[in-house]
Amino acid sequence: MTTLTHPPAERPSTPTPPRRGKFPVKKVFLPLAVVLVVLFCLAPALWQLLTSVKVNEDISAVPTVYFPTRYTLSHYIELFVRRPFWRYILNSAFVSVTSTAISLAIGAPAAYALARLRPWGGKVILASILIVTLFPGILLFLGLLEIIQALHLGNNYLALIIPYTAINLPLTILVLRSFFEQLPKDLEDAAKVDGYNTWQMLLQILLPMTLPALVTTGILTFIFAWNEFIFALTFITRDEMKTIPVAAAQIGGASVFEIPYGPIAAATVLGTLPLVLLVLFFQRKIVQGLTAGAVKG
Amino acid sequence: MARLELINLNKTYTPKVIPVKDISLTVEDDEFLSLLGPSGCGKSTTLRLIAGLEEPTRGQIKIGDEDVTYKRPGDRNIAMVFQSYALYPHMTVYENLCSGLKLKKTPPEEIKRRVSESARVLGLDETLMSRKPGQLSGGQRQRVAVGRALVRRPHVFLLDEPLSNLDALLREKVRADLKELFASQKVPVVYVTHDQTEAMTLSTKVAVLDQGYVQQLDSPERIYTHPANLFVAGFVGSPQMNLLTLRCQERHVMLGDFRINLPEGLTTVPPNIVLGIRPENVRIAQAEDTQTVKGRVYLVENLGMHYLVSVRIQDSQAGSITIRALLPTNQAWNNEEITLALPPQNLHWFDVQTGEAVVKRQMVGARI
Repeated sequence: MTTLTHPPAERPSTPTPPRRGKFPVKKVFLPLAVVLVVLFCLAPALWQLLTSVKVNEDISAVPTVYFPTRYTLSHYIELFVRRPFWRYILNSAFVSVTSTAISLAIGAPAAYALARLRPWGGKVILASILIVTLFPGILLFLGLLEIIQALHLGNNYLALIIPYTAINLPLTILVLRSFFEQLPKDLEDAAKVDGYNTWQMLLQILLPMTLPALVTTGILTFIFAWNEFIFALTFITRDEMKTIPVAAAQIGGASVFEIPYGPIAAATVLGTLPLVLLVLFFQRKIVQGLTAGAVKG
Repeated sequence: MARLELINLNKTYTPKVIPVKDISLTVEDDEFLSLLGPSGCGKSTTLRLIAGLEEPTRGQIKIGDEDVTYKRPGDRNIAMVFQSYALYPHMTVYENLCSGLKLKKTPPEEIKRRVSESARVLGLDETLMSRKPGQLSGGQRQRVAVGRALVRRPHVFLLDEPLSNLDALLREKVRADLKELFASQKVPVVYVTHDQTEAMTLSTKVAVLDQGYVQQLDSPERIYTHPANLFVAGFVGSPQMNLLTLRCQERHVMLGDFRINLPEGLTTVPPNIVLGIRPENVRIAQAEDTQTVKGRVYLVENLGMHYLVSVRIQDSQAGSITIRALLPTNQAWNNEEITLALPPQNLHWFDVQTGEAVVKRQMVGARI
């Protein structure tokens, strides 16, 4: 037996607690990094939120006032008094909800057909859907303008609903298709043996199971339609039919030289609020949909 | 309440992929037919053809004299139990059970009656009815799947490896339950499995399938004692039958230095022949045995109730021939020389080229 004359070299095999005096790296840096990233993402939104409740003097004050001491709701009130803001919210809602509904109603059966029914030429259809997605939307703009004018759809809700649906359909079909492909085939066999025909099977059995994917694509479609600016700006010129992004951009002040930061910020907040609420409400389903449907190609 | 007939069924996907080449069989009212075979033999495809989930390329399917070959699955009055149970996850157990009946517009009282009757037979508690499949155990889900089939009172029951997803102990119990259950139903049952034990214990008739053809259609006993060809002989029976390819000389074959007589019914003597004998029929030679072989033990596997002993016999042509024997555990083995008896009434003979059984053996004391 040998006796140890000096202590053996230190070998940390288990994680040791932070020693006193040393800087606890993990415990401090990680939360700090998270806070910084979150701040970076939320900063513009926070800024608008704060601006919307600042009094005008604080908005244009130099040096910049970050956290005001005085609060006011006058900007919000001004929105509804000066302009028919309720009208704009309704317009946005109508256009977004309709284009989402039509997109899902056409996209789900199409996705099912491509996933399960394997029609002749299915690969060609899928390829063309993919190619259409790659096309930059802005290039379509001039062509669409010509079509809208030719069909006399100017200042008609359809002028927005149809392009939004068309732009969102490829995404809807692709996501829903990969989701349908993941569903166990046995269920459809069991449904067929039970006597369901294709439509009944789709509506009563398969769609309830793809709810996460439907919610995800629905939300994405909704957000796109709600935030869309260029088409809404060009195709709708009548004031009472405008959507929120256009209306917010066109808020003018009392004179040419005054930019009403307050009301614009208030309009931005009001315009974003429904989307935030929607996402918060459906967030669990969205995560399910994104992770399950989007991973497989 | 109807006879199931399959007439020359063929399913061809592409010229290279033909899972079902030519299958004909009949299942009567009180018969339980197992489709037994290895993976890829065509048994699941045959079941799907019967169900109507696939359309045959050629052939006919008749249920009770009615040609249902091209009818939709829902119109054939069949019920199917799937390997993965295929219960609708967003519906409760009760809704799952009555989904087929609702589509047929059965009156609600009738639905209730049938559901409670099937629940009683299967031991499904009232408390389970309002739960969703995700909240049930595997065994409970399996019973709901069987219940869904029972409730429909079909003309034919189809089961696709329903016990595969259960653990071994549960499998044994459910096997016994299923046997009892279907015995009381008096409806033809077609059961697909790759497990011989299930096929042998549950069925009244077994169809052994391989490569899209029926290799043998017989009762479980005859499949075991009179295999029609090499494939059936090697597939049914665990441990596997000893299959030895041996040279023929006049009226006997040479197994090493030992003579085994060829059977009487053999008219022409081929150059080679395959001799088959099950390990459980090989025994230690007694004084009165005429046909014996001598070899050396090289491997002993303890199966609990028996030893599976592998014996090497020297052969001038092949080097060595291995015979496995199932011997009782009263004697331990370790590399000794051993003399084995191959009783003539347990020998099977197969043609080397075709694999067909050469002589229709008569067992000593066979039941007709």
